[in-house]
Amino acid sequence: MKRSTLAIILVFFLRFTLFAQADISELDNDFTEDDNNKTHSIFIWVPGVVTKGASLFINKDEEPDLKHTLRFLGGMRIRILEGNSNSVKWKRKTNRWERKVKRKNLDDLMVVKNADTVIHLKAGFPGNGKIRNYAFLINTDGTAVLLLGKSKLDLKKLVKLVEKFSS
Amino acid sequence: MKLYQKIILISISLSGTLNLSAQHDQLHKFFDQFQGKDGFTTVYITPKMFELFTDIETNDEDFNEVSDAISMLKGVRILILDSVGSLTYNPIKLYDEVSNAAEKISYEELMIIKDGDTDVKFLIREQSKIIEEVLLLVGSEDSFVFISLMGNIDLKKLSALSKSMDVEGLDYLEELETY
Repeated sequence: MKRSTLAIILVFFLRFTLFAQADISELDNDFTEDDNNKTHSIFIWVPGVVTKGASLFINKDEEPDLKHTLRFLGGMRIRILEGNSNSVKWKRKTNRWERKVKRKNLDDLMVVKNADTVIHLKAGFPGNGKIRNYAFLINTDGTAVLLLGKSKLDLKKLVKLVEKFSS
Repeated sequence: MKLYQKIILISISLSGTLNLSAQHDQLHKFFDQFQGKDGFTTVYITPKMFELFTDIETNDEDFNEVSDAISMLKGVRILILDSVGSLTYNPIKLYDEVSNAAEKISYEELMIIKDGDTDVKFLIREQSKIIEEVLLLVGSEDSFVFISLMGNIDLKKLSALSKSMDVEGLDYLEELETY
């Protein structure tokens, strides 16, 4: 009698815990599925020819540094992610972006972190005073941006331009 | 001197160096400890960023002055606590905690400024009469700033940095001109 009572209690308890697990996983699926649907990504490709074309409209005598910057800025790829930063889709995408940037072996220039924002600024320098590749990665609560670009920008001219715009 | 005496001397001096470096790391752990926490912002500017400025030459005097200051740096770490809306950490308590921890290691006080309700403290770490690190601590009732500047630092040139970097607390570097 004791054994059968114990067996009934165990079966009842097991069924109860299994039901509870099923409910939780169902809820979890609904939650992530909904979040995945609300998470959207946008891809923008700016070919190098666009920035090079824009440089044709800049007067070399008036704005030599801006002309150089636009001419050698090169193409860039911008990926934007909007939605819930806790969703599976978000984590998968941002992890993929991080791996992509890591593979490029760029040097970290600056890292900014706070409770809900991480910003990475990276660049590659072949050693001839020019910027070869650059990456800008922002991950905030609700928006993530990855900007990847290839260029032949002269660092001196870029600094002059930044200096001009900041003064 | 016998061989075993030499070995003992070398190991003592090595352990001393390692111990000092571990202590400095302990202070830098403050940055990692509060990184990403609510109310805190951390900024790390890598040595590579400063290397970029060493090759640039222009005729602009202001830029060259800033470039001189930047080229002697090997890294900057900034920790900012803005406690508006966050009651988890007390800025004054953190200021005292970091200040005491730094003084216990090999950092020496360079300058203390009382600006209203704001306390500012400069600390330096020297190695063979070369300043290798400058710490700037700013503490008030509602904010705490901890800046660590690493490199081979000339204090006279350092004040130029406040002109180029718009960072809360860094404007106190101008006070070093009077030092």
